[in-house]
Amino acid sequence: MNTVTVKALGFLAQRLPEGKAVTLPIPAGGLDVRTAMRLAGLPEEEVFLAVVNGRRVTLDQALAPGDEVTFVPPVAGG
Amino acid sequence: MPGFTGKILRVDLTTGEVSTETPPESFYRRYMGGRGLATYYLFKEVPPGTDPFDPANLFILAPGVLTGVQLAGASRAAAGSLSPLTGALGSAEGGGFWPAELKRAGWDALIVKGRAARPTWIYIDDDRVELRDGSALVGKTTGEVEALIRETLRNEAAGGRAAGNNGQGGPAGDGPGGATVGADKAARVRIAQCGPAAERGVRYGNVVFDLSHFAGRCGNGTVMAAKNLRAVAVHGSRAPDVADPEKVKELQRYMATTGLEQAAKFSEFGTPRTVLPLNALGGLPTRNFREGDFEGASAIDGTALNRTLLSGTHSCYACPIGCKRNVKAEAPYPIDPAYGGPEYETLAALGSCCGVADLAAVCKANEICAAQGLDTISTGVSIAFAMECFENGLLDTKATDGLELHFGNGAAMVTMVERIARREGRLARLLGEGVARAAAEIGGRAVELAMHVKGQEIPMHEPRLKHGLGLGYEVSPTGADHCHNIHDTVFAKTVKGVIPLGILETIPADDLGPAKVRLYLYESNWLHFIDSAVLCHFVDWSKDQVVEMVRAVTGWNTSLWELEKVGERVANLGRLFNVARGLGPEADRLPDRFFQPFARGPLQGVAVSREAMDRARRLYYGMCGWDERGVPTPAKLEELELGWAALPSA
Repeated sequence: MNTVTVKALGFLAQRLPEGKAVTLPIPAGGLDVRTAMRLAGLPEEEVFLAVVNGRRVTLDQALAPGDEVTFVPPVAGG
Repeated sequence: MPGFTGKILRVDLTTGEVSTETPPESFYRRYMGGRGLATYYLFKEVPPGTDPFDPANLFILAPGVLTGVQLAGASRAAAGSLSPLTGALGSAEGGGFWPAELKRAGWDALIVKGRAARPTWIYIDDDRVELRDGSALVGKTTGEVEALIRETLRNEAAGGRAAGNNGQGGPAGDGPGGATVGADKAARVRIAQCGPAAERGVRYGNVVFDLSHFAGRCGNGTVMAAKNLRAVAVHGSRAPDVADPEKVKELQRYMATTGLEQAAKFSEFGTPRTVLPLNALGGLPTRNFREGDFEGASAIDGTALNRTLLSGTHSCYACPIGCKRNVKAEAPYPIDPAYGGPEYETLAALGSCCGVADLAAVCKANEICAAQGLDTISTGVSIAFAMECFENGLLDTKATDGLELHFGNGAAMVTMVERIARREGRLARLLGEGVARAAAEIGGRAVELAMHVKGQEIPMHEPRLKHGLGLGYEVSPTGADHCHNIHDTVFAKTVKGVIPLGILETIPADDLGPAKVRLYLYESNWLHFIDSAVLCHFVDWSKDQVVEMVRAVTGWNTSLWELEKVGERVANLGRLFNVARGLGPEADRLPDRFFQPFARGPLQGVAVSREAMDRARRLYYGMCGWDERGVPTPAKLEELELGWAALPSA
């Protein structure tokens, strides 16, 4: 399938519809991490970093079909 | 007086004397309460060379100038003592309802010295203070102690003193048989206590407020137990005065609207939601800090907790956020929701740090720690240490009394918590001394596996992710601590919270340059003020709002600058307290493990740089106005109005 899956952790997950993972199609021109973030409704100022298939990436990284991108908020602790 | 009552309750358990100290307003303005007050009295009255278990040690419970006001986060008190775990300053904070109740009773702090001849509990009913016979409480869980105290007070309300209660009248005592207690007071009384683990001498006994709130670290509960003091029950009938009630109402309105929206992240999942993000970043302590990510992380995260064992939530005094968890279960482990539920630190310390992905086991272990009065961080790290020793052949099944103490064995972890609490078996007794002493006893490679600074076990935040936090672990006056510390990942993204301190640019999490050291200095000093005020760290008041709060409550024409200086004063007095006890710069060191790179994971190849950390630490001393041995200079002490505390020159 020509799609990517977008997930978010911590309080960032509440930004996704019903807090669940979002599936996005990859348009003809391609899809980068930053655009996927915006399409999923995640504000950039709340994203600390992105992880694609378990590896840390920059927001300019191009996504391939089947990729899973996870957005991580800046976290303190408890 | 608005903000403080001007009365400190002093109890000498050796003589039975109960008295009142009345410091001037300037004392409160300089030290605020909480950690500031505790550090001041510990410095003044506990001579260097005193053993923490000696009656000459002090046990202090101190709310602060903000405690008891109807504002979210104004629910906390510090517990303080000379720590039996570190031999250094012991200062930890907890919330719930007890701290506000002490202020309502008309007291700013309780300072206990000496040791009672018999087990004792203290009953405070406004200005009536009674030292009661606590023999019935010995060995009981914290839940049983609450029930017993309430039953005692209920029986008294029903008519006359129950036999066995040997009340000594306080300043307003009626004499034997004359005191009556309303039945409603029995229900509303708030209880602070240490647990049976502290009675048995485990060095990291915590102080428990209202069963599910904990001043966890430093072993202050152990000092309480060493004085033969098991509980302090308080009833207070008068809300503290505030200087500007209109301003307080304005802050309340803010918190009820904007503040609550921003706090939604905590309301639903609490701190447990931190597990998966830290795991993704490679900063979730796993298997005794050998790794930074855990294959079982999703099983012990906040979403898993909410989906499975969470039975409810609860709040502290005056707070609408409700971040506290309740956990209930029947099988395989029965868990009582009266003890609350695990915070992030607990899920990591007894979970990933022990390699355990069994949420029920972690929740059961949390319940045992609450019932027995054990700090969950020190308990988890002690067990993780034992697990790594076991896997490396430093301990065998003979040493563990048959337990297969491998990483990941949740049942063994739960058994070990129970044994540590009861001090059953040689290994459990040893682990109850803390990892530093346990490693020294086991010998050999065990010393490399003991994860502590100054004897206090490392909390659940990884210096190889948050390098400035690593500096904070090294130099904290209470040993490794994650609360009066910075979390670099936040400041790598935004400096919104610290712009009023003049910090204008974000700094990468792995940076240890001068800007990071300055950030750590300014923000940790601020947090020492917050822990003196005493405010919750999780309520998102801005620094400007906190200044407004202090002005509104006390009527003081204060400023961010003055409050930052209070924090600096408290940090310096804490440093001096430790210097006087022989702690030098060699005690400001991270364990070697953090200077070794992760072999795998999101932070594969990343280590803390020894040179960068050493440079950062020395720069920190200089920025503090300390000499190259980390001793505050006479000029710095005078600037902070601590000239009276200057140590005699060698």
